[in-house]
Amino acid sequence: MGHHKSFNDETHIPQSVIKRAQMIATICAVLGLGASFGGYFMSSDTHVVEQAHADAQAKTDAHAKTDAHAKTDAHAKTDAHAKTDAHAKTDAHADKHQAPAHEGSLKKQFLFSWLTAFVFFTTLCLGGLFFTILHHLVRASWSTSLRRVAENVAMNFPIMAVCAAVVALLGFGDIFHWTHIDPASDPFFKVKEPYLNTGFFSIRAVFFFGIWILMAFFFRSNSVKQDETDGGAAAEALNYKMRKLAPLSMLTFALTLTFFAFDWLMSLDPHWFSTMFGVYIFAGTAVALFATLIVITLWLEGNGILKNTITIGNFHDAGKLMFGFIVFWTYITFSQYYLIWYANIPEEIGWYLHRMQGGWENIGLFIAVGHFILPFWVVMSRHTKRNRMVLGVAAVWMLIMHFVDLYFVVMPTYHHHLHFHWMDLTTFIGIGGLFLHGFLHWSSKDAIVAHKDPQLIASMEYDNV
Amino acid sequence: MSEIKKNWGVLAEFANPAELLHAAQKLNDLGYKKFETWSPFPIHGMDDAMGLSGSKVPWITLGGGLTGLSIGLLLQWWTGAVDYPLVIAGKPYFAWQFALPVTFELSILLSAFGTVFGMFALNMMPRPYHPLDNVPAFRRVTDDKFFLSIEVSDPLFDMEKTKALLSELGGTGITDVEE
Repeated sequence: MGHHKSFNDETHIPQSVIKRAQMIATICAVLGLGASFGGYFMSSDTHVVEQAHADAQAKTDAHAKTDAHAKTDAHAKTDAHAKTDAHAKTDAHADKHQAPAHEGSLKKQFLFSWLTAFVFFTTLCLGGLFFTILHHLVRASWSTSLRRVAENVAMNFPIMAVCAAVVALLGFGDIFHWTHIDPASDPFFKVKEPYLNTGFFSIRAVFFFGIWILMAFFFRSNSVKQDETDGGAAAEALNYKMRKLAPLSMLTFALTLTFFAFDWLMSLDPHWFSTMFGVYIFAGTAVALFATLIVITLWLEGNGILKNTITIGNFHDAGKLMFGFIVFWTYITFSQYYLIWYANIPEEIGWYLHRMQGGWENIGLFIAVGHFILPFWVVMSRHTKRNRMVLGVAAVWMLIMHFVDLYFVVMPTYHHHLHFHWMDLTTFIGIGGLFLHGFLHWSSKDAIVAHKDPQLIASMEYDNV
Repeated sequence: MSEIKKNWGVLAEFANPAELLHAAQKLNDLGYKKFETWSPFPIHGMDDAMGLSGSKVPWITLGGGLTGLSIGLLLQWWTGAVDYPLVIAGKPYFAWQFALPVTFELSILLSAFGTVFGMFALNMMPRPYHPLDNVPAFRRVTDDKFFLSIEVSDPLFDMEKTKALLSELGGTGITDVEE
C-alpha cells in the first residue's frame, strides 16, 4: 500500500543466459536421444511386432476365458466365497494378462520409456495451457507476471506431437495391444472396439494436438501483441478478446485432456476402465504445472531477470496452489483406488492388483509418501512457501514425483516385476532437452513478461496478508 | 449516586485506511504495545504495521485435525475389530482403505472447530460488553469509519502527550473511553 510500484525490469532474457541454457538443452537432447534411439536401432530383436502379436493373441484368449469364468462364478454364488473366487481368478487373470511379452527387449523398453517421458512433458505443456486459460477465465491479476512463462511452456505442443508420432511410427502395436485383439474372441473388448481402434485413435490424437497447438498459439500471439501497445485501451481490448474465448477453451481443455489420458494411458490395459482417470491425470498435471512455474521463475530470478516484477507474494501464491493441488491429487487418487477396492469387481480390481505385487507395491507406497504425506507437511507452512530455497526444492521434488506417478501408470503394463532401465532416464533427458529448447526458443523470441498488460502492476503490488 | 468511572483509554478517528495504517506504524515505532486499530474490513499490511506476531490459530487447527484423525482411526478400529467384530461385505474387520473417509471427515471437522472456536477463544469472544461501546460514534466502525484506541495501561500512555500524538498523526474526535 502507500507507495505504488512501476515496471522497471528488463523485458527480455539476456542472450548470454539463453545461450548457456541452450547449450545444456542441446547436450541433454543429443545424449538422451542418441542413447535412446541408438539402443532402439541397434537392438537385435527384429520381430517384436509379430511376436508380440502372437503373444497378445494367446493372452487375450486366456484372458477372455478367465474373465468369463470369474463373471459366471461371481454371479452364480451368493455366499461370501464368490468374492474370494473372483478375487483369486482376477489375480490369476492379472498374471496371465499382464505378463510381458518381451522382458528385456530393448525395442519395447524404448517405447514404454519414451511413452512415460513424452506424456510427462505433454502434461507440463497442458499445465501451461491450463494456467493461461484459467488466468483469462477468472480475470486474474496476481498471475499476470507469471503468464508469459506459462504461455511459453504451452508452446511446446508441436514438439510433443512429434514425440507422439515417434510412438505411432516405431511401435504402436507394441505398446497398445488392443491393436491386435480380435473383438469376436473378447466380449470385454468388443464393446470398446468402436472407440478403441487404430483409425479413430489416430484421428483423436491428431485432433488433440491440433487443438492444443491452436489454443497455445492463440493465447500467446495475442499476449505478445499486447507488448506493442501502450498498455492502455488496446492492451485491455486484447485481454477482452482472450477472455471471451477462455470459457470455450477451458471446456475443450478439460475434454481433450480427459480423452488423451484415456487413450494414451488408460488403454494400455484395454480391459480396465476408471471414469476418474482423466481427472486423476489432470490433478498430477496441475501439481506439475505450479512446480514448473516455481522452478522457471526461480531460474529467472537467479539470473537477475524480473527481480522487481516477481514478488515473494507470487511465489507464495504459486506455492499455495501447488499445495492445494497436491491435496486435490491425493483426494482424486485415493477416491479412484477406494471405490475400486471397495467394489472389488474383477474387471476393475485387476489394474490395482497388478500394481500391488512384483515390487510395484513399493512404488505405490513411495508415491503415497512422496506425492502426498511428505510435501503436505513441508509445503503447508507459510514460511516454507515464502522461502525460495525450500519452495524450489519442494517444486523439483514434485516434478520427480509426478514422473514416478506416471511411471506407475505406464510401466507395470510392460514389466510385471519392478525393473528400472537406463532408457527410462535417457528418454526423459532427451525429450527434456527438446522441451527446454522449445521453451528457450519462445522465451528469447519475445519479452518474458506481459509488461504492457494493465494488470501487471496489480500483480506486482499484490502480497498476502 | 454515580459510580466511580475509570478511564480505559482514548479513541481517535481516522479519515481512511492509509492514515490508520500510518498511525499504527508510528505508534509501533514509538514502542506502544496496548493499542488497537478498528476498521470495517481487513487492511493489507496492518499486521506488520502494528507489529503483531503470527497468529496462534493454525496450531489450534493442527491440534484439532490430529485429534480428529486419531479419533476417526481409533473409533473404527475399536468398534470394528475389537469390541464387536463383524464381517461386512467380505471386508476385513479393519482396513485403512475404508477407514480413511471417516478419518478424513473427522480431521476436517475438528480442524474447522479448532479454527473457529480457537479464534473465538483467542479474541476472548463472546464478549457482551466492551468499554468502546460507551462511545456512540464508534458504532459506525462496522460501516465506514476507521478508529484507533490506546489503553491507559500501556506503559507509554500519558493522557496529554498521547492525545497530542494522536492529533498530530491525523486523528480527529479524540475522546476518553470509560471502563
